[in-house]
Amino acid sequence: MKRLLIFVASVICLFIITSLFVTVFLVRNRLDTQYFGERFVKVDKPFKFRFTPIHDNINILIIPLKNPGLINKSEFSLRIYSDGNNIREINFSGYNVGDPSDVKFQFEPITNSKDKNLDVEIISNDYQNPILINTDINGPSFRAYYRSINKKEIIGEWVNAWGKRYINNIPFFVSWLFLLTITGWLII
Amino acid sequence: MTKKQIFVLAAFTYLFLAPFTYHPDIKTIFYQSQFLSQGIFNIYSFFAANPGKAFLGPFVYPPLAFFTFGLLFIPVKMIAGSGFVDWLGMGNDAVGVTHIFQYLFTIKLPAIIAHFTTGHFIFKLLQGVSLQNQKKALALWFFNPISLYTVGFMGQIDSFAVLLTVLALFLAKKKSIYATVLLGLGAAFKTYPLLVLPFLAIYSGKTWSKKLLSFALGFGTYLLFILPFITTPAFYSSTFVSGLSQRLFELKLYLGFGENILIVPALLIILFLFAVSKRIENINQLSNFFLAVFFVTVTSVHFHPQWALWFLPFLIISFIYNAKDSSVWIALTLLFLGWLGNILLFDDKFLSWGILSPIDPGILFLPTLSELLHRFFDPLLLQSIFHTIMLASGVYLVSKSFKENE
Repeated sequence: MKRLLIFVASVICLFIITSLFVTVFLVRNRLDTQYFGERFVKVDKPFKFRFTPIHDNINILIIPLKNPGLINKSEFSLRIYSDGNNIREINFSGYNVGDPSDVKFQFEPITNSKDKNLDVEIISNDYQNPILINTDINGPSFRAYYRSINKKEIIGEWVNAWGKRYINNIPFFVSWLFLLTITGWLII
Repeated sequence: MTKKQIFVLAAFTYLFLAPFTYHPDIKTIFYQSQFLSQGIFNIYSFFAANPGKAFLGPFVYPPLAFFTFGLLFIPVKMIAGSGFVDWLGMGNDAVGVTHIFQYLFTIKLPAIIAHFTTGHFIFKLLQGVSLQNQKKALALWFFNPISLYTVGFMGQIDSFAVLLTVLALFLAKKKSIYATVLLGLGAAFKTYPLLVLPFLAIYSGKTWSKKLLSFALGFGTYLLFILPFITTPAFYSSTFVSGLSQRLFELKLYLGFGENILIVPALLIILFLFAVSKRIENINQLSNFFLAVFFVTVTSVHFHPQWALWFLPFLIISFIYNAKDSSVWIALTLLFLGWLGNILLFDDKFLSWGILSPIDPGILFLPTLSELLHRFFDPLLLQSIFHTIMLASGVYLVSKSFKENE
């Protein structure tokens, strides 16, 4: 009994310590903003959307795109504008888009991006066999990440993010803790 | 510690880990199986005709897996709550959604329940040994790295097929004809139990005609489920031309002139001939053949982590009979170490750090362990060393189990 309990306690502690270590010391890119669309629509002309990051140093955009039958092999550009100025540009090809796939655009971190409107544009040199983007009436599906290296800030953000996740999932966490308490009580 | 306490402690551990760990396989299976509730019977032809709906890949399992998860989808959807169906339709990286913990907890519950039921039957199968050894088997079943990782972390559906193979062995003990039916059902869920059907048939029937009848009953059960799909080309391309069926023929000795000796089928034939000549006389011998067949099949190929579950129940049963020997403990530890090292070195982000991604979605951007090690030495060599450790220690355990039975 004792040895098994020690083993289980060790597994759970190892799990918690590994998770904390990975999050605080290894993870550099953290989620800033995300939006989920409903359906894929054709990108048959330059596609634009705007978002406002809540952190500095935005450096990754992940956008669900779809290249039906992997037919489109043309050249594309993703441009990011701030106050009308083109501040980042990434070229990619239809070869980089799956059917569908989450396409990752990584660029040099945009300093002072916090609370700044960033306009994102996807353009192509050929709209004959358009790719598709996941979107709804408010805008496309995307995830934006920021680069963070300040440990103190990371811990603060992490605690804050978990607080929000806990509040958003209170019914689940209460039921889950209740279930664990019952099982814990049964062991004793 | 009582049997009940071991079960409860295991439940505590699995329920604690389930919401915070993620592998996309189980999400994909639920996404694909939800179409049953929309009236889709032939998922293979449906995906072939609607490639847009198959964006998470084709359905690669036999039909019973589709029907089982299609039916499970209904209660799972009710428990998982709002946004669940939308989440199923998102990409593999969708770990940042609000109710991710609830979704993960719910979709893993069926696999966890199947795993616990298997534990119950392993306990029952060992009724000839002391209570202490029965409990040792139970503790080993729940608290080994293979079970914790593939069921607690990943929620792999293999636990259903494993349950059916253990149940088949349990019924074979009572010489029940339903044992082969259960193996047929297992094969209709995931094809691999067919590999041990000839061995069960040898054990079940006293005369050759009864052995053949027994085999036909098991194979017939399997055929019953696949028959409606036999004319669907997508069924063949999705279920037979993927996974194990192709990998079985990878390990070979080149003879020249384009000809090869296929090692795994050769080993399986040798095992079969041994079974025929030795006559499987008791349930322990049958369990040893199950162990040998599954172990050879899994460790002689580039396996998926969850495939190790296939032989695990029979390894534990055999281990309990040999546990007095300290070399067996060392071999078992080495086998687990080899398995863990092997799978952590897969160049798949969801098999190393990525499994913790619900805790922080940023984890998905980390390089895999394999990519990290690549800077210093060849990770494939290290992975091969781990695989070899697993194979060698397992071969020792399998040979021990046959010796013990003699």
